[in-house]
Amino acid sequence: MSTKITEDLRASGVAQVIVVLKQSGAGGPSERAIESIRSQFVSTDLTQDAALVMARAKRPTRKLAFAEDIEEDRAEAAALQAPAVRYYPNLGIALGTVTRTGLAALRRKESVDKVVGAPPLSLIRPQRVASARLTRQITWGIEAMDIPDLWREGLNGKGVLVGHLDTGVDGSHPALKGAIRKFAVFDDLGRQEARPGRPYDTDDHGTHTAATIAGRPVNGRAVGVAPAAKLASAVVIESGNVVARVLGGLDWAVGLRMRVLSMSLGFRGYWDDFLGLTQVLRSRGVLPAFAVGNEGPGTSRSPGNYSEALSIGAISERRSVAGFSSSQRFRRRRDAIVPDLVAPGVGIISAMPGGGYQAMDGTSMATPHVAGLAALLFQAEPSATVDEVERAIFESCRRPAGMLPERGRRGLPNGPRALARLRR
Amino acid sequence: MDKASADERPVQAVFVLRQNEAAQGGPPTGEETDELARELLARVAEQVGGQADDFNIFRNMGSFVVSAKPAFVRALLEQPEVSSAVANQQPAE
Repeated sequence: MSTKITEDLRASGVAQVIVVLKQSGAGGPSERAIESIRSQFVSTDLTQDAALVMARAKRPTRKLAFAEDIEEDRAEAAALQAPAVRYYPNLGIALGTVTRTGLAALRRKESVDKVVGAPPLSLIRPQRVASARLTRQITWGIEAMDIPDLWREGLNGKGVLVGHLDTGVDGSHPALKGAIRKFAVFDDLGRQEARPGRPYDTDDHGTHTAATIAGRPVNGRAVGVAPAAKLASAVVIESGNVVARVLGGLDWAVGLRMRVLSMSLGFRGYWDDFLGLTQVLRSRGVLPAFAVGNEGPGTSRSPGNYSEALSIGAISERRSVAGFSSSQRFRRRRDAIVPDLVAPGVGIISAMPGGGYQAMDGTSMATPHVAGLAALLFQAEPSATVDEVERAIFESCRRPAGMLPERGRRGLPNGPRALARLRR
Repeated sequence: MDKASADERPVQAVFVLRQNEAAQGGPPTGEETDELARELLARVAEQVGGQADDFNIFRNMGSFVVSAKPAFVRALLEQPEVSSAVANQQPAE
């Protein structure tokens, strides 16, 4: 039994679980299979999480990805009939709360493949961290996207604010001197702490990603894609995984008029908790660049797997998709495959808290490369919309030889091509 | 939540407001968000006979977070202006 389920059952008598249903041909689990498990979920003895999921299921938003495949009324009716369980037809899974008895009954069901604990919101942790010396003048990731060609055209991100919601940032690092316009820390209700002090990192992830977006050259060596862009950097993750902290950071950065958001955190699997918020970001003129996850093929994280997000996977210097880079196909008309594209995410050298540099692998490292590119494009065309910049990035992509679309979708973006597309 | 109900411990939840149909499906503006969130909190307070312990409105994101007794959060969930909700505290991975 999953440790998480065991602990939840011991602590509260109920556990929030994901039920993976057996597939019945190409159409996914049958309706009978779904109906057969419905009664096993509790509807009265609810945990806080489950009660909220239940309420959310009562009112599906009109843009739920899975709703594109089925008649809206039917989906709504199904949701209304399911007070304590939520079914995701694209994934063939159900989320709900069970007692120990219900769990045992689910496990006996023919139609059930497995039952696992529900996922938390968390940082997309790097797959590898290693000390490194910055020996090249320009990192391989920046070269791979031909970013220096844009620098030569005078594009460096000046005047563009990039939202960076992460573990924080070490503002004293030489590569980040002058890069941070605003720094904030949020409490559990998403309120900004009055005196956050100098920008600091609660980990080392945020400093690394921040410098990949907007690191300034040090001794002629560059790690940042947009070396004159400014960051609105906030501590929103770690030291407690609290949704309102992320929301507080989003609200703050939107208020500061960020144009691009770089975020490397999420829920494992498809959960629409951030869907409405991602839609709000776009409507506020913010391009949401999200890491797709580090759990390999057949997996993805939310919000990186929403149609509304620019989702990013990782490639190596040899232009192959990293084994850890998540990718997943959804049964939806628009944006069926995630990630949307791949960017440099293996052996990425960037800033380390306290000074110096280190190499990291992860889709978290690929994401700031694309956020930095978007900053350069917004500088080039300040009146461009989110859709226009996103489209220019998409159309600039090329899939290297041998890269499967299922893994890398459009492939690797290219700076000069994206600029040309944007100006076309 | 029922477990929390027994001893009236407050629970925290994040609420996203419905899109503004008058504004062609866009999210509510900052002012609308503030006004609507406060209106909902007041409406629910009257319904359940008690205030929320704490709340914070995210004006730019069309959303708000509430810390309140379970009955208050339940009543808030039922309001038609609420599009979705999620538990604020997420378990550790």
